[in-house]
Amino acid sequence: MGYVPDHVIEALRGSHQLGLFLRVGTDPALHLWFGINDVPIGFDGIDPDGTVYLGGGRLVGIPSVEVLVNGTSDAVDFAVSGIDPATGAKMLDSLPPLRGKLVQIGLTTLDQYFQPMSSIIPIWTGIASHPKEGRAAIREGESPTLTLSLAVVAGENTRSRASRALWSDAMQKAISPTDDFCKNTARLARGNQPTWPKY
Amino acid sequence: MAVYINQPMFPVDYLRPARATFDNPGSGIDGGVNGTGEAISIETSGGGIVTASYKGMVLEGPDERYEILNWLGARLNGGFRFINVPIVNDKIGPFPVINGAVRPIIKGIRHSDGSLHSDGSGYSQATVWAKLTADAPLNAGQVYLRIYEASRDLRWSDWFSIYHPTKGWRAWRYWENDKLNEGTETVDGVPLTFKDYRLGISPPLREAAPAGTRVEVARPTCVMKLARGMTVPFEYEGWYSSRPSISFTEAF
Repeated sequence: MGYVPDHVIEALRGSHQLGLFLRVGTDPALHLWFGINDVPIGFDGIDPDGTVYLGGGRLVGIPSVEVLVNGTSDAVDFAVSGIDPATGAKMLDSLPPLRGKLVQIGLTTLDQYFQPMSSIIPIWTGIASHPKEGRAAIREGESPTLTLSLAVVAGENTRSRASRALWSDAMQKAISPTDDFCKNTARLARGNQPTWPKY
Repeated sequence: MAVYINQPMFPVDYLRPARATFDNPGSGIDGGVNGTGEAISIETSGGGIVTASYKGMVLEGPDERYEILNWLGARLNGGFRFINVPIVNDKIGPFPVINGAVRPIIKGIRHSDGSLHSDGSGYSQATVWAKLTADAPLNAGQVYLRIYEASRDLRWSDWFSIYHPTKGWRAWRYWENDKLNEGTETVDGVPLTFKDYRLGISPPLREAAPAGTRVEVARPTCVMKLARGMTVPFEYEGWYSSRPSISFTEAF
């Protein structure tokens, strides 16, 4: 048996029911899936028995995600759309800490009786970076929409220790917090001739 | 937190719709097309959602119906308050013929001393009902049920509904049936005919239901909200004449 069980592959070959699942490993974890109904299912190694993935069409869109093979990095946004500003602010306030949490997408097929044919097969993993709140400029006659999204990165963007390759102020401060030595390098890079301080 | 229980009933009898639709659409994505332009179907909604609409309700002349119309608009516009929508299957379901008509519900039943309520109405009772004979988990796609006093077998499909403790009224219909047993059961001294079935249902159950849960056959009901983009305006032409239509979609 392969990574994806044979009977799931067999189902995927023809017309089938597909379940797409999103898990964000915050505390408590967020479980969403693409369907209407709440469904008891889980990722084998992560979700305890009795986990329920919430439906109701809350998960509106999954961006195209790429699995990187010897690649560099990828960053995608998962979005919830159509919320008013007050709700959006509340959602942002009430978010559990999510930077660096694991984000997983998985799939499985459903049988004739809407029962999942396996536990969720993980197909994409990323690391949550930061939430974003955006509202596009609107014209007369259009209605404003607020979009909350979560930026998720995969690949080399996920390194937790930055490489300090530049003589920038931020990188120098990361090494020695009180050192102002590189403070004017940004101006130097723009083409200015800064006045170097005299100590 | 959305509340699905203790919602009022949509007064379908009083509003007299000329047309009704009940459906369970899914959502799908294409898997790319072949040479004849056809695609395999990939269904992603896991059973779909229940929708309903009542069209061409007959409002003629100034009467209480306009108050109801305003109440529906005030309550439902915006789609965040819910209402129980009955699926009218009165003449279609497996109901017996009593006094020359197919009757899903008997009304005007007197109290044991022969009296009626002060407004002249009596008790009412469904003529056909059912119960689950096995525990059904959340998202169950098959249920075992025993239907009492049905005038016919379950043949092709019928709508049923269950009143769940938190998800409220949820309706579903079956697409596959297996008759397991039939006979007579005496409940509280009354002999009742029953038929046992295993049904493949669509959409799947919205909440787990233990064995013994009552399943409604007469006028199954589903808790619903206004469909996307729908409002209920107060409008009329001429001498208070109007034929409004309302579309609903299952509440989530």
